[in-house]
Amino acid sequence: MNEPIISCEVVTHDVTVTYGQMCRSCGVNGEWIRYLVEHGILEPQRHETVGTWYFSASQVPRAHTATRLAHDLGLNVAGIALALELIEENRKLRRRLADQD
Amino acid sequence: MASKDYYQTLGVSRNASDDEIKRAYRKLARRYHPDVSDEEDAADRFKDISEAYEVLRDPEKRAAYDQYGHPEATGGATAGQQQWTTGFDFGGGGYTHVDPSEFSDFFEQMFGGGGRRASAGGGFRSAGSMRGQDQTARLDIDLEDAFNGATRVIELNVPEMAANGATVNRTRSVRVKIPKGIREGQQLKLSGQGMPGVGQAEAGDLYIEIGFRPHRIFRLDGRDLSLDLPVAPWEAALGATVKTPTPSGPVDLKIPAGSNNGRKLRLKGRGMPGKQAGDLYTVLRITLPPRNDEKAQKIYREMADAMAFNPRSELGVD
Repeated sequence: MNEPIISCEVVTHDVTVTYGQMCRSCGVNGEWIRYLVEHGILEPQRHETVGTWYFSASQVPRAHTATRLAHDLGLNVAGIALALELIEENRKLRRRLADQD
Repeated sequence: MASKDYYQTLGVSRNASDDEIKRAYRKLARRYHPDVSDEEDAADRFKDISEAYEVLRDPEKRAAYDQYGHPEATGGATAGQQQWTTGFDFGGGGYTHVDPSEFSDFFEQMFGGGGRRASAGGGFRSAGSMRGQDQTARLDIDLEDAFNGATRVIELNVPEMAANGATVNRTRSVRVKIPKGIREGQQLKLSGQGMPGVGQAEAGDLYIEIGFRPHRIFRLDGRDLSLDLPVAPWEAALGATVKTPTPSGPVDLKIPAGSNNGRKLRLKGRGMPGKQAGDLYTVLRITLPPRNDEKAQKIYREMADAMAFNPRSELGVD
């Protein structure tokens, strides 16, 4: 194993991405991100002065997952919102089940 | 390279109709999608399913595969094989390379058809320079890794443009230092470790979401840990000082006299480390000695005679 160790930062609340960065991150257009926001899949904050959206960087993987679900399984946004909630729930239950073993 | 039976991958017969193939693919895709499935080999399975569908959904490719690529084909498998195993990529936005319009008009509408394919494949080659996409991955670690900090290697699929223009997958290993005190669901951001940029542009970032494997002894709840600690009936009744495991090694724990089964004892600050360390809860589990010989039975009988005790009085029964 000769790979160098890559330094990383823990994504905390003060690490944010702009609306544009979020679009580029997922390789999608702004309309898609706006749909995800409208369905409560992403929760942006609003810059008080400029009025534009920005997101906690912790939401980037969620946006990626949402985009993959649309792309790979043909889910619409409502379906994605439901799937994400169920995936989360499923993970919790599996964890509890594993803890009981 | 052994030739693949795409029909078997999708669980359909060789004379399956296009609709049957589509239905089989959709069913399997939902089941094995790496974002949805918890199965260990979901990513590989999904890749196989997508590859099979990419070929069988296209009448021309399917006909050529039937003739040359199928294990039972008569047309010379090795020559045909090459064509079918290249050109699939699972990086970028989705895990598949299948035309999104095939799945949903909605998606097509959203992304205008070009966006996703361009980002997944090489559509930006002429676009000058553009920052690489971010990538996301999940990494399951052990509790000890988070408790002590650790270095782990994560393997990523990187789609790359081959000389002939086809996209091939390369596996890239990244060694990442897991900071002490990382919590379940937290993310690590590795700047510049995502997809390569186009032209002079910088690479995207890599986000790693941290999950925890179940632990043999400890259960995790945020920063707090809990464990079941077996105690003998007399330790619970009379009180005792016993050893309990903690992530940093065994410590002495004082069990108060008269502790009932299920009593929770807190060891402050013995949970996961952090700015504010979590606590460790030991849950007492009163455990009978495994041997129930004559001597033990005599003692139990003496207890039964000496103590007027109905443990079910709250239930209104004897």
